[in-house]
Amino acid sequence: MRKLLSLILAASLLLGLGSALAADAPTEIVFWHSMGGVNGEAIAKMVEDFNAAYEGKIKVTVEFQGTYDDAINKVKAAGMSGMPCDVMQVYDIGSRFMIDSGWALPVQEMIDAEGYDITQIEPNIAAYYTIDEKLYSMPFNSSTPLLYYNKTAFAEAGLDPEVAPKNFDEIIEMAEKLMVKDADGKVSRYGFGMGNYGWFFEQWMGKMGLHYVDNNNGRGVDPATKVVFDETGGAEAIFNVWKRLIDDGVITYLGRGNNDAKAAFISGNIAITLESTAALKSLLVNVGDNFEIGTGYFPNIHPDDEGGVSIGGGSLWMLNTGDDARQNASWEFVKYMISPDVQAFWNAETGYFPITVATHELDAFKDNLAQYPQFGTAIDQLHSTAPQYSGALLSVFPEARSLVETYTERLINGEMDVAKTVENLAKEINSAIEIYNLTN
Amino acid sequence: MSLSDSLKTRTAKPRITVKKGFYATVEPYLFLLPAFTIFALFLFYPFGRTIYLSTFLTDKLGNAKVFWGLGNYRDLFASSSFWASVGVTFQFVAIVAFGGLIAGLTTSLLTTRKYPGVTFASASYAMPVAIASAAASMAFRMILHPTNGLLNILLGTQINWRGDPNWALFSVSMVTIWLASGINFIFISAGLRGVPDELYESASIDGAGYWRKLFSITLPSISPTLFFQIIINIISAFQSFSQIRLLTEGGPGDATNVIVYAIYRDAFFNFRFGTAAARSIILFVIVLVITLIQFSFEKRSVHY
Amino acid sequence: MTSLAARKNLAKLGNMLLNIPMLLVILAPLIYTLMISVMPPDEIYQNVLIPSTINFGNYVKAFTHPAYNFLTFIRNSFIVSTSVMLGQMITCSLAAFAFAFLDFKGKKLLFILVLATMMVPGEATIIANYLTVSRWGWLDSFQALIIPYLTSAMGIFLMRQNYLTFSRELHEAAQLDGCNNPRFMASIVVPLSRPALGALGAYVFLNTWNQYMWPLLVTNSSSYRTVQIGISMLYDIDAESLGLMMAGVVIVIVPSLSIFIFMQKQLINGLMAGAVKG
Repeated sequence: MRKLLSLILAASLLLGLGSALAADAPTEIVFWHSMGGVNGEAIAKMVEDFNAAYEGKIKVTVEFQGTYDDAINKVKAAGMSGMPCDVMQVYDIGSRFMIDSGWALPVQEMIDAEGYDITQIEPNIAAYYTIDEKLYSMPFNSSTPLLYYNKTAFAEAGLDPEVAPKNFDEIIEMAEKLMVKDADGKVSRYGFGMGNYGWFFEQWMGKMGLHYVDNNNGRGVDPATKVVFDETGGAEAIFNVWKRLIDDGVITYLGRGNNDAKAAFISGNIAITLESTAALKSLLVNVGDNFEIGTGYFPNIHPDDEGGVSIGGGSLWMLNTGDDARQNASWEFVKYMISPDVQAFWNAETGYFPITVATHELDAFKDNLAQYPQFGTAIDQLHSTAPQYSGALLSVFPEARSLVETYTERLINGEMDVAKTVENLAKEINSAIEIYNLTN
Repeated sequence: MSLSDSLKTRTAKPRITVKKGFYATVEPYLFLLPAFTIFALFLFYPFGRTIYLSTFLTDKLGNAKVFWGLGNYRDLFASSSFWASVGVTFQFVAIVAFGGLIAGLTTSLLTTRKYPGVTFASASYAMPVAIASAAASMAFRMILHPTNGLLNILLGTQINWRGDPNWALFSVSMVTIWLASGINFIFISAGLRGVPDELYESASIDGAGYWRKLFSITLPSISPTLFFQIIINIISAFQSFSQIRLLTEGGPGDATNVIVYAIYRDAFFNFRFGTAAARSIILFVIVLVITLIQFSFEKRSVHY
Repeated sequence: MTSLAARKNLAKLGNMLLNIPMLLVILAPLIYTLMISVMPPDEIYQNVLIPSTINFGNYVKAFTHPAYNFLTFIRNSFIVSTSVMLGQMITCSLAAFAFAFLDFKGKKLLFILVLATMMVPGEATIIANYLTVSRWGWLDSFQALIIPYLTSAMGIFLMRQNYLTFSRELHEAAQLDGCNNPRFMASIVVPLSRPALGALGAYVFLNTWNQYMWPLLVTNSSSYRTVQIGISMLYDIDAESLGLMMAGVVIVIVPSLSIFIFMQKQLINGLMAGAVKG
């Protein structure tokens, strides 16, 4: 009898072992992202570490997909013939599109299934990706816009290097003092310079406490049907600031996007600029010891604005592959990417700020902050913003942002005045929204 | 017996003179089959499809959704942005086609004689042919940088070559001319080589100087080459894309928004495949008309 | 030295010297790119033209860092370019043979059709091709990169031009000897047209290597990405390294430049032979 029992025991042990071994082929998932340069290198390292930690169980293949714009196109094209990847990094303005597409598996479902504690995530950040109390994607590389200034230049110009300008009135005042002209009148340093970046436009709306589109800024039950920035005077205020800057001769136009402005700041050709927190690390690396970098809150349009900034950057979306094993594996990967240690590393390498509250307690994070206090400004700015300024959701955001940049250029060239710019911009964006709603 | 008769009787196999077998009639088409299959699949069919798509409004995935008839065309013709795009394209093509020709002509003329270093010079002038437009665009992105670029360093200026609407088109054109100079050099040099020396010698005896010879002999003699080259330059200029994408993204405003780039934006950024398709059909018609005009021009000014 | 010879030498010297500014204009971009790629970063921002020290760090990074896969990209570009090159050499030669040596119904019409393909701008077909290819599930594959380009009007013209220089008697004599067309083509025509074939091959290889738009659209993963797309990876919206970007450009240019230098004579002569008549 005992022999039979032990035989049965041995047999079931073997069976158990066998099935465990059989289940040991690692689940393979694919992760798409749009981080290049230094940030891309950080991602590669993070994935490598994950694969090492989960060896034999999960294997992540990471693929860079070009810019955010290119990446979202890939998903669209591939989406027609099946999901091309499991986890995808999509930019902030692609959120509405992803929700509408039906390809995304809201992370809320995984959260509910596991009972994951959502308070671990910074509420202001989660707010952006939450609609109707449902968190659709997991925030990952979040940034806010920041003001950067050259402390050394400030001291030279007789300005207090510890005080950053808070609004455009102050910026213009300081810029006049910071400008350096040589003997023949050629400007070797402008006080202020910024890139023509559509994102800033959206941020200023929030700073003024205004909506970009209708239907509760696109977050209502129905999607947005038109812009409201022409009705509220918000666009006008922003374009007026541009006009002032150009007319006063205080800035030089530095093109679309941020790269030229960054380079100009690094080489000392401009003393104040606006950029994302995500650029902090690369700025520190490239500036080195040439001068000290100061950071301040994103400037107000009017001195008495009381709104806040919303986050930019991107988030991780899980795609509906219908394969349970892969979806579970993807969830593990997503949780890993936002775990405090990983976020501390990510923050130190890039300047994106940590989305997990617990990160602030980690030594790695605190040490980095002590060495580079500039990292703290973005966090403070976010904490002092109320969640209601979480920003708009719009299906045609990429096109809208591009149109904002185009019309800003037109304004700067003097092709049209402020009123006309606002009018035409609103018209074009509205038409794009209409067509999208008609065909989708 | 004549030669042909003897040839005929030499072979043992009967020479088929009248009845062309089935295989013989079909054979030429078999030779053409591979090429035409590819053309059919990837040129004729998509072209037809594009015409079809241009009459629809599409959803974000590119499926034809709402029949729109000529609506897309109507909207385009009514849009100032579209006409700005057409204007920009024509300017760009004109600058680049003639600029490339002149660049090629200059470099060819500089290398007709034999002197030490002429092989190196020739290789260098042809070299742009081997450089990808994307690679060159990235390199020129650096060169044209407003604060740290080579051009501003050398000239001592602070011009924003890519962001200033007055300079953007010029900058993109210069990059394209640089790229095109290679193929222009190759073909025009070939043409120059074909001009008989006697023409020059008799002109020298008549006392003609360098410039006289250039305009009365060289240019007329290579006019077929120049004509052919301009057509190639024009067709190629209409298709220039990566320079625009990497240097200016169609901006500032619409300053460098050539039709090709507008098509890309509409299709792959705004997700409006119908409008993009309409633009490409319009582009095709433009290129066709220009080429036809050029061929009629040929009869009048090209000397053989 | 007679005054005529002296004048000739002076003219030669003048000619030589005139080349210098032109050469500078043509070569400067490449030299500058090279300089930036080996320059320490702070010097780039100080507008230094010649680096004080040479630093190959950027190249090492491009090849070894897990975020970049330049060796794979180069391999992919080679696979695609070589396949397209061989494919075009075959299909264009076959088609050109038909147009040059054979008579058949609709010859003129079909030839005009070939002419017409040159006039259809890539953009008119790229969208539809993209939609076709994704419907066939070919996205992210070598087929998508190779098959659409297996023939070209330019190639057909080039080879036909070359074949037209053969005398008709050659074909007739071969037929008399009982040689059928395929054999005639394989054993006589092809060997004789080697220079033109070589030129076509080199030209097609270079053009395919330099493609940007199509690979951008149809490839997603580094397993299939080509080298031109690789360059865009070095550029990021938030973080940028100019030196690394320039290193990428150099890496991408070197293979095509090498092929060009190696095949220079053939390429130029082959293209020229087709160009003289226009």
